[in-house]
Amino acid sequence: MGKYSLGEFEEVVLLTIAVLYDNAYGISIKEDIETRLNRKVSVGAMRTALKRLEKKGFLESEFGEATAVRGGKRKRYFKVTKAGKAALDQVKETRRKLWEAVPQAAFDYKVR
Amino acid sequence: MKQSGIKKPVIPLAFLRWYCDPSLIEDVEGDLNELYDIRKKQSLLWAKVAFWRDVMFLFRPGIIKSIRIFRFRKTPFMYKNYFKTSIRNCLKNPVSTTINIFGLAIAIGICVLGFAFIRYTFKMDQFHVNKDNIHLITFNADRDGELQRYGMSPVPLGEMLAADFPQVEKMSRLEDKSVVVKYDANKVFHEKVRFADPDFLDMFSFQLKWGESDALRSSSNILISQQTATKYFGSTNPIGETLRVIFEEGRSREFSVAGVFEDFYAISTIDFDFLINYSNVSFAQPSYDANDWEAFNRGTLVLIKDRQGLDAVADGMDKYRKIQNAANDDWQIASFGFEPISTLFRNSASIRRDISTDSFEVLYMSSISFIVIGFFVIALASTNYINIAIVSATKRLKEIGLRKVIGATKRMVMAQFLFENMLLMFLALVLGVIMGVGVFIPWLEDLQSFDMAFELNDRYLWLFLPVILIITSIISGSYPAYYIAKFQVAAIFRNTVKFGKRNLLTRVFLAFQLILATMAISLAVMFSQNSNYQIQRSWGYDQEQVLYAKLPEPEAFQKLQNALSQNPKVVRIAGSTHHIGQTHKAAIIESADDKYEVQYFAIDSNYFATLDMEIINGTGFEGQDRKSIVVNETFAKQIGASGNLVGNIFTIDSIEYVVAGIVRDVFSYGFYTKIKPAVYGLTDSDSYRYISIQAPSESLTEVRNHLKAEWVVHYPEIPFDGGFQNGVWGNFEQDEKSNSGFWKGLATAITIVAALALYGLITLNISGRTKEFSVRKVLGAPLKNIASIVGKQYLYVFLIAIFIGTPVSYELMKVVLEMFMTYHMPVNYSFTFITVGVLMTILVTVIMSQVLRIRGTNPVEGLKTE
Repeated sequence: MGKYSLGEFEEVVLLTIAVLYDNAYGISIKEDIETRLNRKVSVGAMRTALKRLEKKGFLESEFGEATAVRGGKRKRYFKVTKAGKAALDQVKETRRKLWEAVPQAAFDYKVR
Repeated sequence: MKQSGIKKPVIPLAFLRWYCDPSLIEDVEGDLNELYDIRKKQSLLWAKVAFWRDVMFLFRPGIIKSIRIFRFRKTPFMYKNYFKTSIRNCLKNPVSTTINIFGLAIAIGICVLGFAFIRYTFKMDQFHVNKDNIHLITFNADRDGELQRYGMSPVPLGEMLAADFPQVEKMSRLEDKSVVVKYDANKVFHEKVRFADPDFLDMFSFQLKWGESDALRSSSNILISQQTATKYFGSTNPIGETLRVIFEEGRSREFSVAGVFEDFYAISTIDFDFLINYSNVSFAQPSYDANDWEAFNRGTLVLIKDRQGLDAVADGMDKYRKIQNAANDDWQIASFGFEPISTLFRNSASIRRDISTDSFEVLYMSSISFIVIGFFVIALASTNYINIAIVSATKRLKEIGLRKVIGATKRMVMAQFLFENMLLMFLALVLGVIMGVGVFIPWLEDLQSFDMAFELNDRYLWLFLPVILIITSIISGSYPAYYIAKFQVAAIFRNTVKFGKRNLLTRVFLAFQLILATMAISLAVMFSQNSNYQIQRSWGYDQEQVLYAKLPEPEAFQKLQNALSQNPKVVRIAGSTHHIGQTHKAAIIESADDKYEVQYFAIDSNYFATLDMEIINGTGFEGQDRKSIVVNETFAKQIGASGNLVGNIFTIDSIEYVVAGIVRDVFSYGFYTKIKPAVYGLTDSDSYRYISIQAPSESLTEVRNHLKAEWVVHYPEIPFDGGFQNGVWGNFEQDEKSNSGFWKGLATAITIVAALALYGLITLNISGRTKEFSVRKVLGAPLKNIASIVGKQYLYVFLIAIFIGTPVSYELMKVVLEMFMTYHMPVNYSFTFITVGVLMTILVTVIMSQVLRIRGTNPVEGLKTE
């Protein structure tokens, strides 16, 4: 795994934050994952993932503006840090290496 | 800023704000608000539900703020220190430590006993793997104007069900018969055998000690319970032995023992001693017809694996209802039902004549009582602890002050006291479990002669014990710790801490303990009174001067009568088909416009006189013919007519009868069963099943021996079956005594705890005032004076406890007796004398012991104490 440990869900969240760039806060991240990946995301699970990513140093956050629908509460915008980028790179690299290592015959179903 | 129009659910929001980490709360709440707003557009309800769900899912590590209760440094050194101080402190005050541990241990022991009893109640019949899939077939029929549920079934039903429905995987019919079982000349007993289809053993999970579970397939095999095996064969393996079952005179068959069950009496309400193949029914009873829809068997059980199957079978039952109703006029069935084995015991009281027993309600109410009692004794022992802890804190003021000066916070002082509490609690728990398992449980089992099948490796017990530990620790430990930690250092060293001797709270607690003790003693006294009342109360007839015997054949009556009428001691002899306290027939009696289910007794015209039953209206059977009946008071009341009932006409089995009289109610089956409407009719000598003999009570034993001797002459093969009429309720007196014994034991335990509390409190109080009493002594105060000074401050508490405790007990007893007993004694206040006497004896004894101790000490020593 190298020096960065990243769960599957964490990876999705991190990538989505990168996709959303400067509009990445709780709800937008949740909705983006739900539409793009077609899977249900619970607030609780996402919140825990965000907190864990921030603790690992893959994310940084700052408060943004407050709106009426939020009951006067501010949004917290997330950004991927350098370490986060490195972690994503590493995941991608390991996947790529694994794909390359798979022999052709392994996925050849016609023979059987 | 404008809030969005509709209010969000308040409760989850408050919950979220309570648990959420402060650094996260703002944007988490904002997110939830935004989501709520979006979802609201779809549906308001959905938005609310989702809001709740989200809050619940957010309640997880990472989101919840970190808990900081003990904010001081947690080092092993510190705990070691706590432990050391605790041990030293416990050893320094051996009296209060012992009182605390012992009191709490008794309370915990009683809780363990209660736990064992509750487990026993709810474990009944739950060991069957298929308990949810085995169903007893029941039916509803109109009786006495309302629908009654019955647990028996029409004889052909089982076989037809098994043939018609593939969903019925296994089926067993049941039948019971009274028989004589003979092993050899010495081992001949009257027994009851159960007939069952071979599937019976596959459906249920009765364990076999010896033998194979397919043993029931052969019709010449017999399976026996472990108790029966011991009774006939001792401890040896009886497989292959032969038992002769005599169904009736001249009709018997040999069976080979093919299985012995593990003891299941303590865990099963479906019990039997002998089990044989159902096909033997037709041999035992030649008139048996497997296709007779008018006859009922003991019950029919089916195994249906799933819900859909059960529904399908239930839907198809109507077919049988029609057949049954066409064939049997007396039993018009409204509908069939199914009762799974897992709930059969619970509902057995509402199902008439089912294979389970009706004792669930009594066990359930007893379980509730145990819970209440458990809470009471825990409260008692905990207040005991609180009192002693608060009072003994006077001795530790310097320690507390010093700790605080060195820099201990309130929390740290509290921690010390809580730690001590936990230590004591743990010791009490260990001792309590030992007392519960080693003393209380065997005591109750012995007293009530039953087996609770209690096991130490019950996982519920190991969930229950920590709960008890935590509850008692919180109740007893938290207040003293808080109270003591609160003291101001300056006040401690200035010696101006006000508490201890005249503390109001200690008195309230003492009063509470004494109220509980008052109630325990009062209840025990009243239960004993009630038992004596039951033992002495009239059964409605003279049970002390009657002998009875169950006849092996109707002709036996003539033979025994001829011999016994020669005996000058015999006053009267009566014959009957049924007998009070033994059997009756359930019959349907019809008036012009209604049907009633009654207990029917077929008797001869001597019967009433022999049992000394009083005719209160009309003539009885003297000079009457077979067309007359006598009814009991209850029946007359149920009809709503008493005086004018004589001469009325009723129909039983479509034969008309005239009421010739009304007889006084008798308790046929004990004081726990309600007196049922009963009808007495005349019978012929060729259907006699019982002989009743009246003789003066002092020569009853002699007459019985004569009867037995005659029996052996005529029926050497068949054991004598009968006895004194006052024995038909079994060990009735013994049962009554053991009931009051239970309350006496419990009251003793509670009184001991309360007395210990009082002792501890007075000891501490007096030792805190050693100087004062020494001064009084030096100045010449007589001992009486000191005793009254000590006594007075507790006397008020005692009086308050008695004045509150006795009326509460009085009212409580009325409720309890109403709940448990069908017929109980009238409750009165006579118990107060004993209660007050016991409490006062305790108070005087404790005070005297302490005052005498003061007398023994040299006042100079007392003056030296700090």
